[in-house]
Amino acid sequence: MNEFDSIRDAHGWRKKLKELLDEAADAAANGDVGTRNSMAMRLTEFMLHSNPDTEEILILDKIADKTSSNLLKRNLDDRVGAIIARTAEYAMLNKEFRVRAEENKATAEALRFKGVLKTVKALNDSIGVLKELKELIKNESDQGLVTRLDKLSNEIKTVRDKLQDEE
Amino acid sequence: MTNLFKPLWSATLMRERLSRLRQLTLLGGVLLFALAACGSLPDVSPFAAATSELGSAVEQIGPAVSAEVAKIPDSKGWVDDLDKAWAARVLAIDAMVEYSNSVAAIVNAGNEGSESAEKLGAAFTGLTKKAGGLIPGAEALAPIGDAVAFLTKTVISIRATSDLLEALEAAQPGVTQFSKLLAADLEDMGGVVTTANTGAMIKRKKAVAGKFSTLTGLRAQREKRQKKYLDALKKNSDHIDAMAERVSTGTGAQPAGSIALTQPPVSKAELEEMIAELKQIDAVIASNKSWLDPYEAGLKKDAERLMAAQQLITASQTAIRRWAAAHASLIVAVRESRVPSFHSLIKTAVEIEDLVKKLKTI
Repeated sequence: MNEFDSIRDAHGWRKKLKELLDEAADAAANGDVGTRNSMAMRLTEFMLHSNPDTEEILILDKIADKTSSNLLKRNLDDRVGAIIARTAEYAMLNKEFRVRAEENKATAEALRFKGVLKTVKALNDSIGVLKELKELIKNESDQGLVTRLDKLSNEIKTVRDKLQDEE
Repeated sequence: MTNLFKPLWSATLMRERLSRLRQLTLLGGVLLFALAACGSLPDVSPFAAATSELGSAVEQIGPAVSAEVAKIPDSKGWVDDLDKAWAARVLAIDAMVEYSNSVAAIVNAGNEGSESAEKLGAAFTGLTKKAGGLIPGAEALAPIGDAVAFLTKTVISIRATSDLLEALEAAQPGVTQFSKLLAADLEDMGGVVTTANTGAMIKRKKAVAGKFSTLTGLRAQREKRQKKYLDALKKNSDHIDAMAERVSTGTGAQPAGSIALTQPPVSKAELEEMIAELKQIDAVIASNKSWLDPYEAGLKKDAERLMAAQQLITASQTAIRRWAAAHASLIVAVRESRVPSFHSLIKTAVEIEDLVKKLKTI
């Protein structure tokens, strides 16, 4: 048993459609998705049940069909429109959080302490060369000394660079 | 830290440093207290993992809803608009995932920094030993390596906690804003998917409108014929009952003991004709099965798809609320040095993943 079973003639179908269209107008104004969808479905059921398929009934069906489509269209326009309206805010959040991520990565890098470790290694190496030099001054020729001094100079330069980097 | 090593080659200055470093060791003790009060850094990797899971699940909602909208006639405009709008959401979601990973990176770096401090202390000890033969008194500085490591570790841990807290607190308003926006989007997506599903059902109904109308007529006709048949059976039954009543009470036109049995109001032939008509209508109705079964199965599928889509939207709304709450609870966890729980967030992310898969298979 449904709301159309008791309708017997064209007058009854006209009356029923008028009733549905009044409710559809309320649903369209109301804005509730569920109410509009259910109204659109009832208008479709009207088309399925209305009979016989006389010219007059077919016109009533067309009105019901158009109203049903418009209700759905209105729902989609409203909802998709609301989604589009928020897009700019997402763009701002996207930028904000990418900047935050970069800042956090920089913070993490600083916490890792790698630069200081590199400096200590460079210092270790320099001290090693100095020790070798000390031994050389005691034992080796001038040419050997020059070569070792050059090496020392380079090592110290490296240390200086590292220290500058740290500052 | 760098300035600590600059005057290393001056033994006099090194001795002065030694004295200072002893003071610093004492300070380290104080800092140890501070560190103990702060506790260790919380493990935020589950939060980052859950954000990533949630992100990839939520990103799929847009295409899933677009696919539903595409099923209704003249929907290209809405589908394009939705796809374009959702692309901006995907970028923002990716930014959130990147941010969450960067928060985890701070914690990891804090832990790695502590390890580096150990290495630094060892390197310092090695350095002073090496320098021993070169700079008088340098060996005496070797034990300072431990103090350097300890101090550095303490400072790094405190700094990491402070940096982490600062990063989380600064991000919280954006996180809240993001979750509100996405929750509102999901509400609208729910409306879109319900409307699209209604549109798909209407399209399905309209496609069989003519056949449906004929079938409705046949069913009504069958109902009428069946009623007529049942009425006929009742009439005959009432007739038999009336005759039996007359026999038992001795009433009636005939004298007692000679009851004449009259014919039932509806003859056997008439009843058989009615049955034949009903069978004929049933056969015509049955011939509609070829389109009726797929039609009804289609409607059932539409209803299942709608239910799955609604479950997905609801689960995603819950998940995004839980995600923002998890971020806020992370701040409290860092402040109070306790272990945060992301169990419900991870569970919801997995649930969304399953619902997306389910929706794709219906």
